[in-house]
Amino acid sequence: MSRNLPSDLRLSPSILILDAALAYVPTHGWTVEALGQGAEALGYPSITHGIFPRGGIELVEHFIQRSKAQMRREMYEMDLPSMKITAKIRAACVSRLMLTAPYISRWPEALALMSLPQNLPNSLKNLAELVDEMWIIAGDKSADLNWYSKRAILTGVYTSTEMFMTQDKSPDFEETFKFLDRRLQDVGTIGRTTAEINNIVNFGFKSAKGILETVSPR
Amino acid sequence: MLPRLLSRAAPTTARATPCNIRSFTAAAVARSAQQPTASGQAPAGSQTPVDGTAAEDSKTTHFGFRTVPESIKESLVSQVFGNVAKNYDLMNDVMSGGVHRLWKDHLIRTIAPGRDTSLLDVAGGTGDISFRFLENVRETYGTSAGASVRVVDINPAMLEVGRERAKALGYGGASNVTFEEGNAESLSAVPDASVDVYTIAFGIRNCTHVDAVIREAYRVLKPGGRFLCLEFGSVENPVIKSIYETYSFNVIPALGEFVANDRASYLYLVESIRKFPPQPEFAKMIRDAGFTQIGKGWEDLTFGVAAIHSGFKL
Repeated sequence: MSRNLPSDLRLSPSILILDAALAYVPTHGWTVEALGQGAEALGYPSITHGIFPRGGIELVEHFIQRSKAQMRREMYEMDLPSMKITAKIRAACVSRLMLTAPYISRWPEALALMSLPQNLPNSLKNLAELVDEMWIIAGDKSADLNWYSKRAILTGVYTSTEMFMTQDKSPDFEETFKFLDRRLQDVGTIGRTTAEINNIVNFGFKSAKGILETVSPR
Repeated sequence: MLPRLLSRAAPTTARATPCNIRSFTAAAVARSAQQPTASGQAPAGSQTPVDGTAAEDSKTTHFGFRTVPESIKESLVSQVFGNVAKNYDLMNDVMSGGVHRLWKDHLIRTIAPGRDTSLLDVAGGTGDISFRFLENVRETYGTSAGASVRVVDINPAMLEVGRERAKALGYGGASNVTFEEGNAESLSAVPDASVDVYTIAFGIRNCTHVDAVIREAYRVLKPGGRFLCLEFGSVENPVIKSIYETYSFNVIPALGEFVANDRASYLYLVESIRKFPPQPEFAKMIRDAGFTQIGKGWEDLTFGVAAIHSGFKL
């Protein structure tokens, strides 16, 4: 009997509705309205959005999962063995950031939703998984304290670049990618001797300074 | 002294002396009284589908704490609601301290209707859910003209109250609000897959075959449509439960007598709440009818005094 299955397994329409709803994010934001429009696009009544009881955040989380998988696909299509670690990390960041690009005007709303207390644990988990995925793709095999520091550093690089991107009006986000390069440079010996706490702390200050410089009124 | 003949399934109501039960004097009850009065076990779980038609007449169900033949429950319930219709909304306020309004508002927010959502509100005679629904659509989209509401109730007295309220609220001539008499167990006037949302608020426990009601809901909903049932539940917290019990059996019937001059009907309301299956059991009935539930399938309101059950036709 199907009734004994966990609800997620029986809810394949939910994935379709979420995918369809993404098309309405630029106009409706990460909202119940977007979910309702997505449901209608598939021929369901708009109130089918009720299958997502947490509302817009479920759309955000779906987008994050979907984008992570998409990034993985794009990365494995590249000639990874010929690339250095930093180049692979950079490529992963670029690939993932470009997936956010169509929604960038609505991304601050998503960040706001993600940082609500009830959503924060999930958001941090998703971020950790993304960064972990990037390191795995880059071929990281560390099994010591480096494992942590690498992920901590890349988390900082990725999130600060993403923040920068929400403010970036340059064509093709070229400023964003320059920002990304500077952050990766800051980290310097990324992938090798990153255990120095000093570096991490310094990095935090530098990226905060970087954001302030670019966001502050000119 | 007719009620003496009726079997009372639970002892809790010793305070409510049989003399107070004066309203349910249908001849049918008298017939039912011929049956052995010994059936002490709770008949709540015994609402099996009507498949075995041969034994139809001997089947019993609960009416409050009494056991009655299935065939007469409908008319007994009909009497209760005929009695309470006029004071229904007033009594809801008095009994719940106004909290029922919050529950109903929450139900509508849970639906979060769209501009063209169609609602079938079963057992919704006085229009409590329907008007809230339309109001929500109007507030969200500026107009409720695209949405539609179809109110079905088995009780003409309740429908009459609803029609009058519709007039008072300015929905009198509106073509998107209709009231009609009908039985929740067979909504023959409603086509298959024709409504977006089905609601039944504080109505399903009065139906004789709850499973048939849920099956009908499944039938009339469009794919993707939502079944929502606001109903009393059972309170798990023992402290709150004891307060709630005391209040239910001592205060509510007294209020019924004082405000509506009808103790018996309100005693029935309280008893029928206790006879209704607790949340997990009712959620399973909804699942068994084919609905897809999200999470555990219901949301408790006010410590579980009430609960919103929800299922999707997906």
